[in-house]
Amino acid sequence: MGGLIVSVDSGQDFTTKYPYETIIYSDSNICPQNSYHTLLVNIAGYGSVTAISNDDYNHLTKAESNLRQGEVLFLDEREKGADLPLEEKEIEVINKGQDEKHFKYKVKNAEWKVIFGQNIFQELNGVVVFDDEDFALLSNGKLGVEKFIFLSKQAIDLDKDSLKLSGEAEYWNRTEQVAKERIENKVVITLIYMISLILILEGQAFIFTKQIVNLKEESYRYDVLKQLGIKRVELGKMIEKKIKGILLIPGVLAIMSGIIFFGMDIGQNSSGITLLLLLNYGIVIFIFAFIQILGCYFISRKIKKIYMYEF
Amino acid sequence: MYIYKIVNLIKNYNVLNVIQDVSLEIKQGEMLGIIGKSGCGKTTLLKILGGILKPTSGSVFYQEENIYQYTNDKLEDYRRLSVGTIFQDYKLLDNISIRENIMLPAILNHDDIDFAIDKAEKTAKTLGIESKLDCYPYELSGGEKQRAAISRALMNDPKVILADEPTGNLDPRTTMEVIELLLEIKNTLKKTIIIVTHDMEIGNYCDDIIKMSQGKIVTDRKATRPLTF
Repeated sequence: MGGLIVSVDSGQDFTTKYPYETIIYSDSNICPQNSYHTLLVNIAGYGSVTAISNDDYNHLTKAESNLRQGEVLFLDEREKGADLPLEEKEIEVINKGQDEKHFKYKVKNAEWKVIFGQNIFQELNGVVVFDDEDFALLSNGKLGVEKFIFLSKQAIDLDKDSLKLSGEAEYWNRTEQVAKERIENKVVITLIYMISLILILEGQAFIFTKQIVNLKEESYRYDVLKQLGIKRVELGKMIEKKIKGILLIPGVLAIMSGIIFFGMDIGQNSSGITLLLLLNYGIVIFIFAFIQILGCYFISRKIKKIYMYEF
Repeated sequence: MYIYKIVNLIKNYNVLNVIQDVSLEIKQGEMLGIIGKSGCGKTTLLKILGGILKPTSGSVFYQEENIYQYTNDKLEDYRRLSVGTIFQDYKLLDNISIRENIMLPAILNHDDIDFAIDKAEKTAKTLGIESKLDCYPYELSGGEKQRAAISRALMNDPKVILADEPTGNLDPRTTMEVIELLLEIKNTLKKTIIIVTHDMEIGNYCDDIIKMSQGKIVTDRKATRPLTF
């Protein structure tokens, strides 16, 4: 659980996830200097995706992509998942007019890549980059719905209401999104903390109950030793040793799961082991170790008190 | 010469008065029987003598020292070195061998292990259970278990043997064997033996007996003196 908490809390590189501060997805071109012309096209078996020209793609990503006519790049902006199914395959752009037409393109390359921002609008989850001439043909042939994407690295002065956007326009702001996600993460972390605490307390309650159940059997042995004159200190150590063995199991499991989650974090986090990540782990481990040790101490004290009555 | 002097002893469990103002002197080297029905307080008295149960009030003098004014360390030493206890249910630990059971008091005393093994074997031989040393308690008969328990009680060479219904689980023949064994220990090893029992017959073998009822000493059969101090 500790590992999970750090996993939720870490790896939040919002600049990579959301490269732009403001994005407006609209039917009309509100600002020609910073807007990109796109088409919302329908791809067989996949649904609606955003089509952009190779020229715009190179401009947006600072890439030097070369596409020939009939070739496309397929990009998925969602969170990285299983391998993309479209690589080295064909896609069909469907024109649903009076006569449904299919236009086939070869997928030159497919990858998980954030261009506009991860999961900003559903229409931007899939992006298909067409050769410039192909894109012009699609656009001129009205083979998709014309859309404009306004992108700004800075917060724009005008707020959403004063932009006078058409009803279809969608407005997105990184600061708002990040604030929202941070709150969501905090809720998730709080929940995990609470579940972790409940699990720890339940585990300790279970151990405590088990010790009480075993009391009769164990107290017989301790009773005999008491009557034979065992020293109080030695009996205390004997009981402590027995309890410690049981109480350490959850601790060992916690460390093991912590290592696994830590490994997963390192694997996912492109920036590797950072001081902040280590610090996060350190704090979480400290909190849980403290709770665990405190619980062990009280259980140990209580059990010893029960076993060593009238000593 | 008295080894124990008990003065105005009271033990209460909440509202229950288990021992009510008992005073008693026990001679060194005697075999004293404490006889009474179940619940009369005789086992409680034995536990108090053994340093296991703290009295509510009163004093227990062992060789003129009040054992309940001992420090914890000294009281533990008293339990380990001055008294050996025998129980009706033997109280042997099932998961260790008879040899290890007999050795326990020496182990708790941090004696040299070879010395402890040697002494356990000698004591077991004296009590006729040397062939059972490698057995576990569940492999022994009741009489053999009690012999093992007596061997354990003698391990640290205590001056006093406290026996709580030592024949309670035994048949008449084995009962006689155990009683004869205790008499032999008293005579040859010069131990003071205090037996708690509900069996009046056993009283016949004791040097002195006291009868308890409802937490009080009610009669002293063999002694003619009144039980007042």
